[in-house]
Order: sequence, then structure tokens, then C-alpha cells
Amino acid sequence: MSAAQLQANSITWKIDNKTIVDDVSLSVKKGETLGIVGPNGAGKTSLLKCLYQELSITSGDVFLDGVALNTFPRKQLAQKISVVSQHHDPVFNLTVFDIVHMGLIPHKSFFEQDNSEDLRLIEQALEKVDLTDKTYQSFSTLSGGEQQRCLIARAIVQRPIIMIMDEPTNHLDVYYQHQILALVKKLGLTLVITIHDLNLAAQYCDRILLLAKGKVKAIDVPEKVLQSTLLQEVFKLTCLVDENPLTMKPRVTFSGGSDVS
Amino acid sequence: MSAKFAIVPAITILSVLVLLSLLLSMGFGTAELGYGEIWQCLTDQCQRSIYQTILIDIRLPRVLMGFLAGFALAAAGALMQNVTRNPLADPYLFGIVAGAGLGATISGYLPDSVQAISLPLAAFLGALFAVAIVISVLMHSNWRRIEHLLLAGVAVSFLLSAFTSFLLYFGEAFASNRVIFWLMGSLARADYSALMWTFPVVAISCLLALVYARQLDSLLLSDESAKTLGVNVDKLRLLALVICAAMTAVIVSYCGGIGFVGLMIPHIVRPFFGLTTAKLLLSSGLIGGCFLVWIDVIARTILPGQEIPIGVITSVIGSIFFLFLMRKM
Repeated sequence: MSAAQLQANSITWKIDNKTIVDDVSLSVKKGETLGIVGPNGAGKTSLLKCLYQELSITSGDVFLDGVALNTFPRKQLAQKISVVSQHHDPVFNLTVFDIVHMGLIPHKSFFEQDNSEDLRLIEQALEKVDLTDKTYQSFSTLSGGEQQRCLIARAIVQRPIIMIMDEPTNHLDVYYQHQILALVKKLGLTLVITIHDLNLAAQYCDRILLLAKGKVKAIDVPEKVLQSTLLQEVFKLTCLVDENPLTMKPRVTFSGGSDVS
Repeated sequence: MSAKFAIVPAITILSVLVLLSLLLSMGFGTAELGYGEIWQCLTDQCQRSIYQTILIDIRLPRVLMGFLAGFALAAAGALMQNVTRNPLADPYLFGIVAGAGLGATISGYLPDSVQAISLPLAAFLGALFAVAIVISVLMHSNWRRIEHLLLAGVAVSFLLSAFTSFLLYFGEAFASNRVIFWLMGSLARADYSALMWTFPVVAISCLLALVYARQLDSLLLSDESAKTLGVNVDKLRLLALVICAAMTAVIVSYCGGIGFVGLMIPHIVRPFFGLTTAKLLLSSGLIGGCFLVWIDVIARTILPGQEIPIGVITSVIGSIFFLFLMRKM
């Protein structure tokens, strides 16, 4: 196995004596996409937050390229890891440009002004996410998919090596779900994504981490993780796994709740 | 840039507005001293030496102080609204005026020998006291909610106002009058020494805010998103609040309670000049300065031979504005 870019060794995060993230170990290789799946309340978002130091872990270690994460100064960390999180509801009418422009922050020292290179970077990022014609539109008037793309453009301007995304496909219709995931895959970054839809995870992730009650149930390629017995145990629903005839990836189908054995 | 002015024409327009306001407002006052006389003073020599005294020693510092006070209050309001992400935030919500009022009241009880430093300094210390209480409460609640800042400020205001009322109730009428009139706000106290104290505080505060403008902008989306951009959110917000408090406190100490400028001006400015920190702070400051200069012209000319406290006028305009704003939200 080649060297891991992001590695977590048995990390645990507790709050008020409740263990939310329980002894999780994972590693992500450069350029790989790791999907984190699991039921609501499994601790997916908390696990992500441990990986980008929003939460300080109770025990365990996280390494970025072999260096302990907590030894990085804030600003340096922001040059390596960008985060696209959900739920943004700005009070003021921030424009798309204002938000994408924030991506420059980790690369600027005091008094340093924007140069033409920076503006070109913003322009290119907006082109990549296809928002050029909405550059000066207010963020809150955008659709859910456009808001996600705007935040992705900000992450591109941040020039990270790892991108962490929390439920990027939430509240999006099928078309936009695929659009967003295909878009971030094209960037060629290392990706860590939480995702609800198991079939999307199967299609876009190189490996999947199945999380239940804060513990790792399985972490492996989609074919190995998405197995009916395991999914049935975690999601408490009868399920069938076969092969998606279009993508040749595992396809998961759940029955309703009533016939659970 | 959509409906907004680009930065260079915006600054040009504002500078012209500022210069015109400062010059034209010099022509108003109790003394019959119009533009003709001013023009003569500027180009040749004043008709009477008293004119020079009126212009240079009374009107000029007053106009400058009005501009500086408006600038500081509006800039502080803009900064405070941005860092709390609350469009209804106002630097006065720190309890600054109540604190300054208490300081001013207590100064009335001090022996005559220390009266020289008296009112402005005592008011400033009182204002800092109020801010210290608010910030220490917030530090303990771990900044869990930004709204706590506003609520803590209101609570501290009421507490300190109650002390002030108690002292005034038992105090002698003359001293009480002095404090009450001061609380209503006036630029009549303005002189060059007042400008010498206030200008550096306002200038340094604004410079600091501009240095951190990029980081402050990151707070506009959410605290968490700012953190992922490598910004130390708690420290930055504390710094910004201290800057707001310092600017407001020093202005309140010399000019008394001039309310609603900090609340109102940023709202007027945002749609035209933008809402990111550097643009908002500067344009709010310049417009706020002009606004207060003209309000002061109204205050000193609308009733013949008498001056209306400037805070009364800004409060009337501001609170009506505030109500319209709430209707729209």
C-alpha cells in the first residue's frame, strides 16, 4: 500500500461522556475518493470535523502526509484542506464573487492586495463550476446546486490537496447530485465525502467507510462494503444488492420497514 | 460590477461629498456669518476679527468633530454588524452610553480639584467598564451564540442606567441637568483638544480593521467556514469588538449619546457600495461623517437662538428608520 495522505489512528471524540466517534482508523491515499456512509446519527459529520480539526479529538492521532495534524498552524492547514459544508444562510446579500474570493484568505498575508493572478484564479474556478454568468448574483438567490458549486469554487481557489465535503448531494435532485460529484471528481484532489445515497457512493467512491454508532463497520472497496447482511444489520431494513447494469457497480435496494426480520 | 459602484468612482464621489459637506456646513450658525464673509476670509482678510474667531475656533472644530463622530459611529456600526452577522447590531448595544452616563454622573461627585479631567475621561472609563462587563460575560458563555452579545449589552445598559438614575435622583439639580444634557448628545463641546484625543483612536481603530479586512470578510458566511479558511474566529471577533468599543467610547465621551448612526448608515451604504468589510467600513464612515455634519447644522439652526441636542434628532430619524427596516425584514 502506498503512503497514505490522510491517516487517522483510532481517533475518539467524546462530548459530555457520550462517545460520538469511537476508535475510528482510516487512511486515504493521494487522489483517492473515500465515501463515509451510515445511518443518521452515526457520527459521520463529527468524524469529518475531527479530520479537519473543527473538533479536537479526545484520543488518537490524525496525520497529514505523515505530520500530526494538530502541529499545523491554522493557516497552513487551510492551505492543505478545504471544507465544503452544508447549511449556509448568510444574513447579508453576499455575492458569488464575495464567497469565492474568501478562498484566497489562507494564501494572503496582512496588507497583501489581490493581484491579477488571484482574479484569474477566481475567474477560472467560476468557469470550472459553470457560474461565470452569476458572478455578481446574491448567494442566497441561488439554487441548492448552484450554492454547492459556489462553495466548490471557493475550495478550488483555496488550492488544497484534500477536499472534505459534508453531504454535498443533500437536497439536490438526481441531475445535480451527479453533476456535483462528477465535478469534484474531475478536480483530481483527494476527496473525503459523507453521503447518504449508497448507490451514489458505490458509483463515485474508490472506497467506502460504513459507520454505525461512531464505529467503523467496514472500510473497503464498494463491492466488499455494500453487502446485504452488513447493510441489513446497520440500516435495519431488508435489502438486496445486485449489479447496476449501467455502471457495473453494486446496486443497493431496500424494502420497506415492515418486513424486517 | 452589477448595481454597485466600482471602488475608484465610489471613493471619488464620496470625497467630493465630504469636502462639500465640510465647506458648506461652515456657513451655518447662530452668528450672521454667511458664505460671502467666509469667502472673504479665505481669499483676503476677514471683515472683522471676530469672524475669524468664530470660524476657526468655533465652527471649524465643531464641523470636524461632527464629521469624526459620524465617521467613527458609522464605521463601528458597520464593523459590528459584520462580525456579529446581525444587521441590527449597533455599538451602543454594548451598554457604552449607559456606562459613559454613569461615569459622567459619578464625575459630578468628585472634588473640584480633579474636575479638570472630569467629564470626558470619566465617561470614557464608564464606557470601558460597561464593555468589560459585556465581554467578560461573553467569554464565560464561550461565544455560544452571537445573540448573547446583544442581550448582554441590553442587560448591562439597564443595570448601569439604574445606577445613574439613582445617583441623579439624590444628586443636586444642577449637576443632574449637566449629565442629562450631555446624555442627549451635543457637538458644542468640540474643540481642538477634543479632536486631538479622538482622532488618533478612530484612525488607529479603522486602520486595524482594514488590516484584518480579509479575515473579517470570512466571518460573513459562518464561523465554521471562517475556521476552515484558517481564521482564528474567537480572537478576531474579540479584536473587532474591542475596536468598535474603543471608537464608540471615545466619541461618546466627548459628544454624549448620539444614537442610531451606527445602526442606520451601514444599511444605507450596503446596496450602493458593497458589504465586504473594507468597502463597507470606509463608505459607511464617510457617509456617516457627512450625515452627522448636516444633522448638526439642523441642530444649531432650526430653532433661532437655541440649539437642539443632536442626539435627539438622530434618535428620531434613526428609530423611524429602524421601524421601517423591521417592516421590510
